[in-house]
Amino acid sequence: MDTYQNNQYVKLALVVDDSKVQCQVLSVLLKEENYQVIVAHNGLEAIAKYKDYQPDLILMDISMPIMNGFSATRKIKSLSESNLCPLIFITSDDTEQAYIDSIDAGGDGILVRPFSPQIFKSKIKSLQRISDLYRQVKSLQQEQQKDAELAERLMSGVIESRNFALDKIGMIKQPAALFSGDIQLTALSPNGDLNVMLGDFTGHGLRSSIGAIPLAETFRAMTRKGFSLFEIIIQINKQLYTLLPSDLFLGAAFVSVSEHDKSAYIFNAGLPDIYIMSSDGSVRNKISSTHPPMGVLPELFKGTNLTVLSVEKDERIELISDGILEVRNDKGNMFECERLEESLKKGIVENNVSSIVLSDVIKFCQNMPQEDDISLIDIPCSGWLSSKDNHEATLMKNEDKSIAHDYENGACAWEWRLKLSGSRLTKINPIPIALNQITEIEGNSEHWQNLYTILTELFINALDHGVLGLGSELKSTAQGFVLYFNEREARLAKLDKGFVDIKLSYYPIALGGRIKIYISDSGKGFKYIKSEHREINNQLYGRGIMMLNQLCESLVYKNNGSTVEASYAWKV
Amino acid sequence: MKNQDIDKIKVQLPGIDYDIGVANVLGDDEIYQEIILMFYEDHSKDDENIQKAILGYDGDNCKRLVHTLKGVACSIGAMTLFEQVKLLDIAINERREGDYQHLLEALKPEFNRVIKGIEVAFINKM
Repeated sequence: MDTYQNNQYVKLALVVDDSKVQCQVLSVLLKEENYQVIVAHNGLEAIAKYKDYQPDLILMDISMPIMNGFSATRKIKSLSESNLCPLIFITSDDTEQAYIDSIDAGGDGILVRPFSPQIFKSKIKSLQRISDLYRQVKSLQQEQQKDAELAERLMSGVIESRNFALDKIGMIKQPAALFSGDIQLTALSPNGDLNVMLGDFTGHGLRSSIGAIPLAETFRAMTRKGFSLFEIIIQINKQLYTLLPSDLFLGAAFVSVSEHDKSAYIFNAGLPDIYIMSSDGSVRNKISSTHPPMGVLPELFKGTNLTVLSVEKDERIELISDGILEVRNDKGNMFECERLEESLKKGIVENNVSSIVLSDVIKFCQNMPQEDDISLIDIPCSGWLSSKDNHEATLMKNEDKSIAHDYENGACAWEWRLKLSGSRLTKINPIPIALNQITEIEGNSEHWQNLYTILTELFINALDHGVLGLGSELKSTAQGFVLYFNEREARLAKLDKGFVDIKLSYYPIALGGRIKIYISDSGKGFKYIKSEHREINNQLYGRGIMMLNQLCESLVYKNNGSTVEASYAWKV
Repeated sequence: MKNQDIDKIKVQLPGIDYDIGVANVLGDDEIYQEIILMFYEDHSKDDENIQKAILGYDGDNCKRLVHTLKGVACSIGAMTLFEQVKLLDIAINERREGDYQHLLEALKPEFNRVIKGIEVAFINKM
């Protein structure tokens, strides 16, 4: 707009009149108002000149040869839908009808001869003011659009591009506005479990997506640090309750899939049913919402639990937002569950769930405007870990004699200890705390993932088999695993005594390091199985100790299994 | 242009209100006189052309010629001619075909007066 005020921008006017006299008279008046002037002598010529020059103002005669002013105006206005180019009819016809016809044809005003140059000037000024305002609004709108697009790119970068296993997990994300109120997150836990979340913020657009970045950061950071899915859900609920305005909340479905345990931990807070699909495309289970959306209540309901299901490797879990069920066709019918289930079945059989569901939804709603964000996540129950993610690829070279030698002579650089007792054992997960300490002191390292696995396995053994007295035989079948989990929850809820004591000692060695782990518990010990007596088989229990043997330099159980000493060493 | 010359021209342009006409081009005498010449070149045969259109029942052309002449007369300050052409224009808009001829006849003297004046003031001197 400044350019206009400073006259740096030369405005252009198109005068359309079959009379050279009128063109000349109007040109004089326009030049006085700092316009450059081009002329056309009939409607057709006017349209061509409009296309070529995109003028800032048009003065149009009505009665002209070849094409009259009304027809030319209709065409010009249809060409300038996104641009307000004021058009004034200049006529000596002072009838009411002329005025009505001029406005109907798309004119922005009419000037009837005779008029004084002052009247002409005022008319031009008033229309130019509107046109300038329009330009200003349009320019602001364009700025906002640019900002919004940048913000959207940044948000997509922060959120979606950092998702795990994007090539293996199918996704549909069709925002109703530039910003989607739906959020899709996937992250790999240090123990190899896959955590997935589909969230649907109230509404859509920028306002709905403000919680997405902190939510994504919490989900990822807590997953990376090894917090359990339930701990992540508790934290996300707390965070959104504090962060979001009262009318904004998040319907969310959470899933943690353990390929190792052949189980899935599921939580649905305000989203449509979560589908567990068999490999033949039939619906095996539906998990309905059991909790209000995240961010509504300061704490989760008392007694809230995850649903635990055993899953087969070739099964899939489907998370959907309500947008997909509620898309409408031109008859006002919604897509709904029945069509979705048919579409899911087809997708699973053809091994392409997201594309097939999306194409069915598009086919169903034709060109009807999309009212809400449309989202789906298609989660395989296995196969998302590439070879580099497997523990075996990062196995320690425990046969390396030089490391052992350094160990004998090295001094302990630091020690860290945490002893949790009674109900604290149910509330606090010491593993992320321990890993945080290690990272704080020694910085990031690819070896902390192995360490996480070792610590988790040892701590869970101490808690489950030692303090809680659970026998691992229960885990011999996939169904038994679910029973085991439920029994564990029940015993944890009642736990008021017992302890687990964790101590870490760090020994720097040349080009590497060693961490010695000592864990003891208050239990009576458990029947651990020495690695040499185990074969690699499909048993679900006992796998943990086998994995520990593979990862650790040494692993020694004492006091009937209630104390364990493990050593993990590495070289760069 | 000297004031004396302008006064002379004013006298020689019967039917044209020089002050109104020149005000329409913001008081620029040279441009105004150019416009008067342009009017003469483009419209001095308008009476004949309108007559042909009436006789030939060429309604569209008749309407356009009359409408344009009305506007142009106003722009150059030929206000009496403007008022007379306006009557014919109204008749055409209202499709009072029986009135066309006598309204054309009624405006012809004023039209000729304006054209003759321009000839005296400018054309004959060229």
